[in-house]
Amino acid sequence: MNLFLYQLKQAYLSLKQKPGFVFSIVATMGITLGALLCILTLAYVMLIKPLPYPEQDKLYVTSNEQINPQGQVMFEQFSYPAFMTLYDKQDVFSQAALVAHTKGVLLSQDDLPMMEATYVSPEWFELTGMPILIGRAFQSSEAVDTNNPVVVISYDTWINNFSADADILEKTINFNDISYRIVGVVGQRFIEPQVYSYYFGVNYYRKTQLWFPWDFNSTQPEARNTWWPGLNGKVVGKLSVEFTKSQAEQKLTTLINDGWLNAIIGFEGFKGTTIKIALHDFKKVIIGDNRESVCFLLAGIIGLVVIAFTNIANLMTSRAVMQQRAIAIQAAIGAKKSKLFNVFFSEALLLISLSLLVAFFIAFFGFYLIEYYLGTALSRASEMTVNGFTLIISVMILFVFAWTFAKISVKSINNKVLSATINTSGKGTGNQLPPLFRQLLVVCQVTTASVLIFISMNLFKEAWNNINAPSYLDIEQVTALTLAPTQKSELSAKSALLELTLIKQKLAELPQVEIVSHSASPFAFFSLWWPGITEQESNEKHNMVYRIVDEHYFPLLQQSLLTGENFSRDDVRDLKKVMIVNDVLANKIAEQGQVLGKKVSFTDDHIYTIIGVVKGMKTPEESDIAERAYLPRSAVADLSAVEKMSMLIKLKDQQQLTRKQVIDIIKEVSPSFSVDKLQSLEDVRYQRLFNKIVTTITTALVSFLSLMLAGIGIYGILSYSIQIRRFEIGTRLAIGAKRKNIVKLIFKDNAGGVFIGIVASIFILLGLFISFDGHLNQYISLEMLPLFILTLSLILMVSSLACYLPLRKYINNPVIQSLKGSE
Amino acid sequence: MSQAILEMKNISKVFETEELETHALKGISFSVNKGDYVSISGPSGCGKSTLLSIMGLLDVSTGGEYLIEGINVTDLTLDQAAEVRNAKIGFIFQSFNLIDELSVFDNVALPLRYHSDKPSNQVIKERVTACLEKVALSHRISHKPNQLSGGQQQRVAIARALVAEPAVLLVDEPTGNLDSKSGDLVMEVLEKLNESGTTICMVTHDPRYADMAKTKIQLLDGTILQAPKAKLAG
Repeated sequence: MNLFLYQLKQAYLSLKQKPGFVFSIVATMGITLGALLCILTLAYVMLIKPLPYPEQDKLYVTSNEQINPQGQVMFEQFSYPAFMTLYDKQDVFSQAALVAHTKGVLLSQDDLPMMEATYVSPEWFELTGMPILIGRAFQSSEAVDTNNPVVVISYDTWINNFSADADILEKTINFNDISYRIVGVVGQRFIEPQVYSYYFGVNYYRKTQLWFPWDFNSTQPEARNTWWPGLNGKVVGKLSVEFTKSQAEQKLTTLINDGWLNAIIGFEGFKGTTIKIALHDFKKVIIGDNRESVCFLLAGIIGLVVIAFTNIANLMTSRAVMQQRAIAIQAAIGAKKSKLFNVFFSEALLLISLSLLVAFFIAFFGFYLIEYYLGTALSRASEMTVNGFTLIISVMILFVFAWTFAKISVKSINNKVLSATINTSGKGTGNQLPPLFRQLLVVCQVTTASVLIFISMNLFKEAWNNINAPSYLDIEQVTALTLAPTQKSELSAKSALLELTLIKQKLAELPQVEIVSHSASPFAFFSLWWPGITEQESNEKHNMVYRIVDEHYFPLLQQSLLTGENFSRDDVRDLKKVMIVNDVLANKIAEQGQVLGKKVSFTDDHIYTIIGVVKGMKTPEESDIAERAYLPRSAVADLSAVEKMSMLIKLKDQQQLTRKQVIDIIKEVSPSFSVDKLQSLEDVRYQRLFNKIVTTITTALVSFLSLMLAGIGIYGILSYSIQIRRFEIGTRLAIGAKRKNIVKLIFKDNAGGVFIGIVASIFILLGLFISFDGHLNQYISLEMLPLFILTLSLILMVSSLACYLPLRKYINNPVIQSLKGSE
Repeated sequence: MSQAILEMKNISKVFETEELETHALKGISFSVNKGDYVSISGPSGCGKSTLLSIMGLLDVSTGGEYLIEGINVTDLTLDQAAEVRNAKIGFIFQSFNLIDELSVFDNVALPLRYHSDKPSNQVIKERVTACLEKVALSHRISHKPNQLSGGQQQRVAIARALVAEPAVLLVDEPTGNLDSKSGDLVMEVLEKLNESGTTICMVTHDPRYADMAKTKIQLLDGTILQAPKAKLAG
């Protein structure tokens, strides 16, 4: 032990003399190891760490897959009867819970805050092991059909909305016009499972503030009896030990499909459709599509660590060669090989320990950044912290890296120590690393950097294109307003329309407002009419989505009318059956989009005439423009809540509209509504593109770091290689070589390593492409050849600079400078 | 009348650092004639190697004028100097400066590879072989330098210096890294070369070898102390 401490002390004293060397290693290794620890911890949390729920591996989320006769899944939502049948009659789960999310206004508080709420059956608390800080969870008194109006509130709600009131129990709140008695407060450490986190390709992170008994869920009475899918709810169950997943799916499918087949008797449109109940692993549902992103990040960071590792290996071995004389003396006075190894191991151990210290700081910073910026996209980001896994990995890195560096260092001097250094006759070109080792380092750098840069640039390009794709709308100064009802009992459609029209008028009268449209945001989900509309002449069906708009919608968004006309005020007022389609749908309906005057039907008695064609617009996450139709407001009676209660407000230049101004107007007009959301379309777009923006930044960073680290590494290796060849260069110059001869020579000598590296990277990319065709389609595609050429150009440029720059001082100065010390 | 191959007129060299100005050479003037064998000697730090570097266009003087075969080479560019070195000067270094990765043949052939005339491979082969024969090493043509003894390596270096048929051989402490037997052998080769007409200018601190020269120049503190046989310019 004493010897080990002595060696560490010696290593410390030795390294103290080389602050530049220490800084280079600690900075390079610290940054890359920090990123590695951060992403490894993220990967552990997302992919390996068990969910913090009892028997989490037995938990499943069910989905109701409605399958058309062609075998395609049309919907994954439940109908209410299917949902309740599954809950009541299933026998494959030892315990099953109903869960449905909603939003509403907390009327009992003066500022009328919008709250995230979840309706659950009592089993939810047990399945998730939800800790209760004060009071109790739901129990049999809140079971389905007990209609007991109680509420459990989250820890944050207790702190923020109730000032951590210790006497909170038995107090009442009013949510959406119903009074509930508070019976419990959830413990702070509860991590809510994001069973809704992924929906229609967009991540939604919800943090429930209020839990209500299932009986109070917002499904309308008429919807409770229809088998039409549309319920925003999940059944979560713990699989009984007697059943496998597929057995359970089979059993539940039979249970629900029978009801469905009975329900569609007489409905021609649904003939041949079936229902399949699928079980989804709880963890997969929660992680969503983040697995691939995490894997890519991990691969990228490992690549960077490989490059950094190679750089450090070069520095360490160069230092070992520089120390050769001291080592030789130790060897001469009897130091064994193991002792020499220990000398290097102590130094490496100190350096990697220092690097790990820096790495921990960087990892902590990374945890903070990921939770702050990606918390909504990465469902378990909040669980990231230094844990046993991170510590074990760190200790492994410490010893494996230190051992490897020491081994490489010993290897680099091993054969020369005795022969070359002690017998210093000054012959030849001095001590140096084996050329093969240098070549190997260059190959490693070039291969890793080429693969990383190429894949990163592909991802970057895709994300960048998506971010910069035109939406074909002018969304500048446009704000989307969504209202929420404040009462449980809905107003009649006529009264609601009257009040909403009044709100619209009042908003339009504000001095900062240019125009208001009673339409939903173009970026909100469009309604789907399935199985599509039918063109009357050809009797062909066309899939599409539709939106209810008023006459101001297209002018407000500057969405170009390509042919025909916009809705008139009369069209909207008189409920005329006219339709505007986008150019994509127009081209589907008729060749060259000649659709004006054509009639299409939703059902036999809903026949619409196409009066205009608009330029198709793209939502932020769309890669292709969808087929869309627009109907005048009120033309279809059954509007979705979003479409009923949404407005678009175009503000004048440099004007703003505050939430308070809108709330005041609404209060003045009607007590029936409150503000749900008021958000500029620019912000909506930014939020929806957030994942792409993160991808762009991350991939740009990985590309830049790869190029920079590889550049530094290749420069370091070649610079060292040129430095040890300086007598040779000087000799060649002395006997008449011109500068260009030397440049050619150095380029030629190093081209081999770079070339092998490039070839290796091509093989690796091809290997990845062939092996993971399905999974890596978005990362690697043959269409990316120009990008690969660009990658190679960057690598060649870096390699060329790395060859030329260190050479300048030898070829641009008198030859004697290179020959100094050669004797 | 003898023809001057090298002429140095009032050559000086000053090394400057932020704090110090060192006058390595102070107005050195002399000439070397065709077929001459000049030795430059003196104590350590007297400026021998600096003088030889300037003579070989490996370094530039701070002042004065330098002519090779009557052409002023004082202000040549780096590439022009390289061309002159290749065509007119043959170097022999103390530590041989052979390139380890190249064979004896390739080491000797190197000056011809950089020659502006681009001689054919046949010509190169013939000249390399001839030069190696002159130093009695033609049987080692395929060896690598590290397979040769020190004396043999220095003889390869001599062959390399001769291969481009330079006007003068500049020799820097040719025996510095050799034992006396090998050193004597090398000096013998140099003497024979001079006898056959090769002009040699050699830096040495060994009085025995300095005495073998026809002209002896002794330097002290950057000036010529004694040049009994040298023809002083100007």
